[in-house]
Amino acid sequence: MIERIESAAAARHLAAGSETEERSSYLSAEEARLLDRARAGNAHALRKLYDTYSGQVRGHLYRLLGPDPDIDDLVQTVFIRAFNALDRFKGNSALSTWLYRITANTAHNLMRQRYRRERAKLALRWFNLGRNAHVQRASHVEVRDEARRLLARLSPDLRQIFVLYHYEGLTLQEISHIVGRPISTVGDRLTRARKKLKDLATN
Amino acid sequence: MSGRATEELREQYETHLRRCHDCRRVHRLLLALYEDPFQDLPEPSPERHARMFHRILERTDAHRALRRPTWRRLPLRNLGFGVGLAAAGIFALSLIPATSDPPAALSTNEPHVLAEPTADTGGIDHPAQGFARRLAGSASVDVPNARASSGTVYPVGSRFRVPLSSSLQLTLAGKVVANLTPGTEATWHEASPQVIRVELDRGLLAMRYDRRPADPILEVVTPDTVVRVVGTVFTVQVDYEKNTTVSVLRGEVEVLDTSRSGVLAEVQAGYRYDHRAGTFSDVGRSEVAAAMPISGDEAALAMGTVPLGWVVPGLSDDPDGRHLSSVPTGDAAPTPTSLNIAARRTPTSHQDHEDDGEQLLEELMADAARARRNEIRRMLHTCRRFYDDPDERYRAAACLARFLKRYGRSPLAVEGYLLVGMLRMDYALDFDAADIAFQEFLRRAPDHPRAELARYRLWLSATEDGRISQALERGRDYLERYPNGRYVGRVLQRFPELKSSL
Repeated sequence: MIERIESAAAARHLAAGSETEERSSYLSAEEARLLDRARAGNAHALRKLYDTYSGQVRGHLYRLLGPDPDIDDLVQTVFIRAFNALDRFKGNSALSTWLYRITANTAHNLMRQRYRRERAKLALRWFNLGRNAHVQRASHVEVRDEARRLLARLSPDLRQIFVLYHYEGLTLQEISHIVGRPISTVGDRLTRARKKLKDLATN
Repeated sequence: MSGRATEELREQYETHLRRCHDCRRVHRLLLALYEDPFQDLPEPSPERHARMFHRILERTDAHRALRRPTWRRLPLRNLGFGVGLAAAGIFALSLIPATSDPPAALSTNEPHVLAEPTADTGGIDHPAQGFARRLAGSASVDVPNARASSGTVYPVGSRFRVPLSSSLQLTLAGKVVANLTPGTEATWHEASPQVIRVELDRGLLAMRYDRRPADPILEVVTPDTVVRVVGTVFTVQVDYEKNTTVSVLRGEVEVLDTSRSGVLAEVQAGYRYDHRAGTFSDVGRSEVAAAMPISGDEAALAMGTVPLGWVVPGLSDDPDGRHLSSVPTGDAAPTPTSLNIAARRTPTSHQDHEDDGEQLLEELMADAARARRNEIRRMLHTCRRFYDDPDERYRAAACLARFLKRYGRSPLAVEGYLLVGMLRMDYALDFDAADIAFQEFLRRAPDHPRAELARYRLWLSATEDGRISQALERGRDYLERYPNGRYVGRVLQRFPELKSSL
């Protein structure tokens, strides 16, 4: 509890933009200095943050949405939201976790819209692929594409948890923080996602 | 199975897999699924990466706040002090004219204006705007009434002589920022709601004017022309032979004859117009250097780069590569480019015509041509704006299709093909369509300032699409044409074997 209070105090101090030795345990001194400068609108500091984390954000969006022409636009949206919310970042998590959260929120509505819109189309394509599956042995690339199609059939909530856990390598605790749900819910969704994928692959 | 199955169980599983075809398929699928099937993430090019950052920066509140004028960043608790200071300043300025000529004589040409603002007085509506303020540098200044000058504030009618060892930066009427380079002589003649007028006798003058709708027109009068500006960044130079050269970095200016009765040329961003030769060429380093101190782009100033909003042919779009040293020096004797034929000197009133009817017809035709040119530029600008804005980019394709359908044959519309190609390539990954668009662009305007970009894009299209032999051929062609080009490094990075083509 004491640690949490100290962490919150440090985060408030950071938010005020003043230099201090008391820092969030999630941030290195260098990151904290960088954040201070970024909050003040320093272009170099913002560029540094962008260079450091754009790969993470882009990769996460790619795994959530698949190959998509809008990914560049979404990367920009994520960073605009993040940069405009730097003052509200309290240092209660690592910067990368905070960015995962913004990325997930930014992509979530789009994922839901697409899932609703393309559900029937995906199911039909899956059915046709299944009918021809015995005809020839799939190449490595085809298996990879099939895996992607399979993933696209997961509902957005399940896909998000699966991606964060298996591809991004985050812990259930971190995922819980990102999606804003209890750990038990996250664990339950992960189990459901795996079962659904297994059923899809078997059928 | 991942480390939890016993050796015996694993062996049973593998034996079963060898016998069961369907199980092998499911096994491979699940393996692909858990090993991350998204490892082929395409990375954006460094150019696009930088461009995206710039767009993010433009929409970042903290950074925008940093770029706002200092008084707007003051905290509210300082507001009272600020208001008091401003009131004192206005009071002090109001005393200055009282000790000299009446405020009505702010223009040396037409006694006029500031004292009695009317409903449509536009952006000049305060007596303090009748003064220029020195921002930096030094010059010898002849003030019409010495008592009106405090040393850093000069009234309308002041004449500035900049020594060869210095330069002078000024704001005029609180709206125009000017940089007078060493050796420049200029006089500020007028500040009225209709026009801000500066006369340039010799030297190089760079100006930035971010004009709002109600603001006056800016005119720079030289011995042989009048440069009329609606809002832009540009330079005007008068050489020792009294010849005028106008270069534009952002926006567009009109060059008129001295009687203001006819347009001699419309100069677009990226071009330099030489009045005596009647030719256009690309803007060069000296003009960019003169305008950089007044760019108003703090991020670019901090990094010592040329602002992204300026059109400088031969300069990379990557903010990190837009240093002054990268700007081509430009030709001493500009050569005409094929694209500017339409925008060149039009036959106007300073030529004598015996037949008034013929003259009228010519003027009407010139007017119609000018109107069409403006229409083309406006529509192209709209499409370009859609292309640049991520939120509106989906409209760019339709806009460009409409544009090319309507104006596709005009030489001024040729850039539309380039934009279509880039759109097809970057956002639809339709490399074949992109190739056709780039080739059409190059066929129509092989000497266009952006032809290098089109040839690079052609190479990139073949490379990204995996047509390696074609990519090698196009890369070789690019290197032979532009051995010192902007994209040489990128071409060689992919195909080092092309080095021999240099």
